[in-house]
Amino acid sequence: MKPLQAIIGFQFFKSIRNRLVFYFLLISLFSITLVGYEAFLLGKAVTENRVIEQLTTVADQKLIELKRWLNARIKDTKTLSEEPEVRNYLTLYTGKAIKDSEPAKKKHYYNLLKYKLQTVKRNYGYKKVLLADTDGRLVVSSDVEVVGKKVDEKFISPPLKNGEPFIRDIYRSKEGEFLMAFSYPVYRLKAETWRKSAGISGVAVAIINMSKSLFLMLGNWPGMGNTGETLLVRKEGENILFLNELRHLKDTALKLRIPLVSGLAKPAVFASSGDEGMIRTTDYRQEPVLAAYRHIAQAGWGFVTKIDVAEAFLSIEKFKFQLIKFTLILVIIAIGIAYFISRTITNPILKLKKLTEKLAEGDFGASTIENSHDEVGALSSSFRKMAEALEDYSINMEEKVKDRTRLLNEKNIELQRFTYTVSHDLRSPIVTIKGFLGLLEKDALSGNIEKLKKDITYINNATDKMENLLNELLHLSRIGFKTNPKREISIEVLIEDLLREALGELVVNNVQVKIAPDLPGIYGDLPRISELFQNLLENANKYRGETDNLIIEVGCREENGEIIFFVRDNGIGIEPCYHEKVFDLFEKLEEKSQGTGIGLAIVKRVVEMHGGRIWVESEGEGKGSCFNFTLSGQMH
Amino acid sequence: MKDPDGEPFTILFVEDDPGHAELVRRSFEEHRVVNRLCHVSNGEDALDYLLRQNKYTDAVKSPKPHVVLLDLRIPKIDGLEVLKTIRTSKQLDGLPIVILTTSEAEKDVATAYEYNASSYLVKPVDFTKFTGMMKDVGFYWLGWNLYPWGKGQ
Repeated sequence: MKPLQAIIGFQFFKSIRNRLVFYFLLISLFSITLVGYEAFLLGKAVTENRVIEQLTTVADQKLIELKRWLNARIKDTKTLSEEPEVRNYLTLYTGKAIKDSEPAKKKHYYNLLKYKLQTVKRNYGYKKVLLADTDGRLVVSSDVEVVGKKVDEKFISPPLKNGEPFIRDIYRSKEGEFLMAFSYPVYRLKAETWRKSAGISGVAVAIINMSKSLFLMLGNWPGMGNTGETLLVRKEGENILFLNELRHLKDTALKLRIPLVSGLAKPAVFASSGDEGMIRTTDYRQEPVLAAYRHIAQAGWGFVTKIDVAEAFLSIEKFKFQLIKFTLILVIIAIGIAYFISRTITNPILKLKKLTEKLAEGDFGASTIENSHDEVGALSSSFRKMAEALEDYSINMEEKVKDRTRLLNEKNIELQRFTYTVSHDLRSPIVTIKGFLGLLEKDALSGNIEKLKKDITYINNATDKMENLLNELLHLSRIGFKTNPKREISIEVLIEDLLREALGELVVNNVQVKIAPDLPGIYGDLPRISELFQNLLENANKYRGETDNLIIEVGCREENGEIIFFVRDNGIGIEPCYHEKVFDLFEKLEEKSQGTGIGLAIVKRVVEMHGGRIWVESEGEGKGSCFNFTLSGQMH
Repeated sequence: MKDPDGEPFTILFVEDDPGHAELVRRSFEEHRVVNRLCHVSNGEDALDYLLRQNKYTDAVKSPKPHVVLLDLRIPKIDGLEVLKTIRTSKQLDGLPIVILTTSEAEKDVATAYEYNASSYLVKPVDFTKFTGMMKDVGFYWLGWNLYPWGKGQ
């Protein structure tokens, strides 16, 4: 058993319309998909390039800002450390050697200095600005603090030791703030600056809250969307330490560590190792991301700007969705167009089919096909011509059939007569012959010579009759089968020839044959036409009756544009009731005549062979008769 | 053989072939079937004879037949046509008509009986059979057959 689907498919493809729709759909779907896919690839490439460019630009921009910020912060402490008031105060009023000799003056300078520090703090957004002496004790602070207390050594010992500015990397205060400290050494007044360690009188320290400054600045960029973020990291042993708060994880600053070898957070690892570049990878959440990474040597930081691939390429996804939607709409339109086109192709064909069916039922109304100028139109036109030809043909056919049926019926009747004759007329002489042979024997035995002679006469007559009959039958059958090429015939010459030979009897009997001088020629079958005239003339002689002076006239007249030939005699004539019957086969009107009833049948057949008709006119017995006939082949 | 009126038994014989006519006549003679055989040679004459018209008005020369022997293929009026006319004539009601012909055509036989022919005989080709048949016809119609007035004999 076939699967159902195969059957449906087979049925489906049987229809031209369905095939057209299917192939049109296939072609349009293929091209639309191809174009769509190309467009998608192009769009994707453009979008990727745009996203990468944006990320790179942001990264570079942020890098510049970051470096500028760092430099600005270093410069702040440097400027502060180079202030004459700062250097003066630290030189004169701090250190073990210096006595607090002028407290009023000191107080004055202290206040001035404190004001200055407060100004710096306020102007540049520091958490705290302070000055410490070489012992690490607080000298002045922007905030309210006890002078002389120990300042955290981490801020001051490096600059005190080597006279270099120092940055304390981001750290968490006891209050949980993310701070960063910048220190710069302060030199004595008049000290030689090249002997730095010797000339140092203290350290200027500025502490800044990262959450309110750098982090704020880094965390924000246009087009960062929902997943864009900036990371600040540094290498710490075998780990990467995240310095700022992450967007997607809580409480990560200075807490989240990821091992260098973990394979995670690759951009952060690369950036902290001093590399710069662009990468598509997974981030700390194992989420696919696009990332640009940079290194800041000054601070030993790695810096990463990144965005989730999903978001970066969201527009591509949107584009893809649009493209699919568009493709589907195009396909639906294509189906509609295909259906419409196939209709315009198949509808005339279906119409033709209906008309063909009508034609098969015998309805020839083919003219209802509309006329278009395409191939189907040409087909319709040919079809119409064919239908018209068929109609003509069928009408002609009907006429032909009627004609042939009539002819066939005539032949049938003739054949019946023929059989009749064979069973009667042909048998009749045999009965006579056999009968008289029987009588002959008896008469011979009884020695009756008179009767014997009579018997022999009967036998002779019967055999003659039979021979005659057979000859004429043969003759008749020849007319049907044997035809000769048609030629021009002169009736006058033909009759004269007949009188010289076949109709010599007429001359012997003193029959006058008058031939009209202006007879037209006949175009026909010479032996047959000859038979026609021979039979008619013979008949006239045969049925002359008691007339001693038989006159036969052969002529013609014109009636309704038709030439009618006639053979007229002054013999016994024919009763009107027999005018039709005389032409029938084996029809005899006179039992005494030597005729067989075939002669006039031959005449009729010859006339019909030449496309004419024959009839007889006679007023009755003793009035003579006139045989008229037409021949379609006569010449003028 | 004579009928109740003392008239000799008469057969009207319709036959166009003179040979056949002679044969039938001789056969009757041969078998001594004494009768009056009136011979006509075409359909028209046959009807004229039976209906006593034209040249057959004389009742003495052309006595009323008791039986008709009728050939089918005869000139002027066909035998079957003659039969039909006889059967539609009140005057000739009940006249036995024996078809005597050479035609064995089914159509002829069927038509003849359709027109109520009394008998249909086909002339045998063999001489002995022919004369035998004529003898039988004579004995049957003149001897054995019963007429409204009695037997033929």
